[in-house]
Amino acid sequence: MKKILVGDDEVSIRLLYEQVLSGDGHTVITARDGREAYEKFLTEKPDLVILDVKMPGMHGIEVLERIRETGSDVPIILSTAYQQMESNAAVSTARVACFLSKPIDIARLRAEVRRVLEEKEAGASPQVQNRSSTL
Amino acid sequence: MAVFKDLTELKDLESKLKRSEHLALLGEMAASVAHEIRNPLNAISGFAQLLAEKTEEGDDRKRFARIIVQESSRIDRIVGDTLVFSREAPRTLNEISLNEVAVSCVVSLSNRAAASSVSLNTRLDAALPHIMGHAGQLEQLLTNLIVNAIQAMPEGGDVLVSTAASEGRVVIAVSDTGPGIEPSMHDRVFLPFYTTKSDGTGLGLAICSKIVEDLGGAMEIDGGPGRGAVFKVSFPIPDARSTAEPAGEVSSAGALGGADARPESQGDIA
Repeated sequence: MKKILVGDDEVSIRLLYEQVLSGDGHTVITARDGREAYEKFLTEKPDLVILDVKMPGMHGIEVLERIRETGSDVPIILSTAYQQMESNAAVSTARVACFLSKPIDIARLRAEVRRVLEEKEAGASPQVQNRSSTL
Repeated sequence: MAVFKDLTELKDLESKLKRSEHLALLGEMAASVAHEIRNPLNAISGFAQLLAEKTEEGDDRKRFARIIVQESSRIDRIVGDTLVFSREAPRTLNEISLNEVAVSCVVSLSNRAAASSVSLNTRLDAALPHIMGHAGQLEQLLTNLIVNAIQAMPEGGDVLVSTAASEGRVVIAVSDTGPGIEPSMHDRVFLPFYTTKSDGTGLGLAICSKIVEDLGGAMEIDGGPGRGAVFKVSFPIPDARSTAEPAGEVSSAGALGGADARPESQGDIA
């Protein structure tokens, strides 16, 4: 099973991700803000990163850009309560495996995580397929 | 007299400016409140989904957890609709083919229509001129009208999306074979928070009305009790150029295969 890094400033959301993803057998590492998420990305080398867009200090898109600057092509899922992130220029230039809009449908979360990890395993670049998911 | 006129104009301008500042502030507030509500809602809904998963079928707790998920979804729709309603109109408009918008919405909603035994069809004017608009807004407008039409016919029926050009305007109409709307109610249905549905947000048609107004269009209701409802929206044609776009018959039946991928916050209308 895989190592998944989750960056979200809401403790209850981090717990939710942990419950769902560790229930599927993954190792879940959590970070409470953007800076911590970036540091843990460097030290933990996760197979997948899930980032909330709005986090104090360094927001999710900045973390995404910094991760890409390291040359890493780790799949990144962006989660946000805001709508229409797909049209955000900063996001479209960096490779994003998928967008999840809040409230998150956990069945969809599982399916997207599975798809992205399978594509990574197969060596393909994860494509944005399900552009957003809602409850 | 001239001074008086100037002062009146100045006061009008001031009042318009204040209104636009208030609207901008309202939009910012709505976006901020939406985010703050959706974060805890995410947790409530997520854990309720987990509870439902972990409980045996037939156990009351499974039913209760599903109710929490459903009602969270309802809050999300209300938040989303309020957000759309208070959002500032897009500043950049593009040339848009209403035929393309119609086809895209019909494809997106085909599964939803089929699930309600509604036959969703189009009759598009092949020589329809483009209008100036915003694709996202127009998709929202048409999706709201089609979803409304589908919901007006719980026993099934027909919905037709048609386009035509006449007298310097492009007209797009959504007609259904549902119960129709009393003429006395025609104005009221566009008011924010007016709804006839137990779980409606009452913002769907108000959002439509705002979008049409933003784009300099006009909307009217035709039909009546027993004759179905027709929502007719017209937009001015920007200039003499007219570009024909993909047109023809599209049906919800057949091999369209589109998922019900309606954009967020278009949930329940009216």
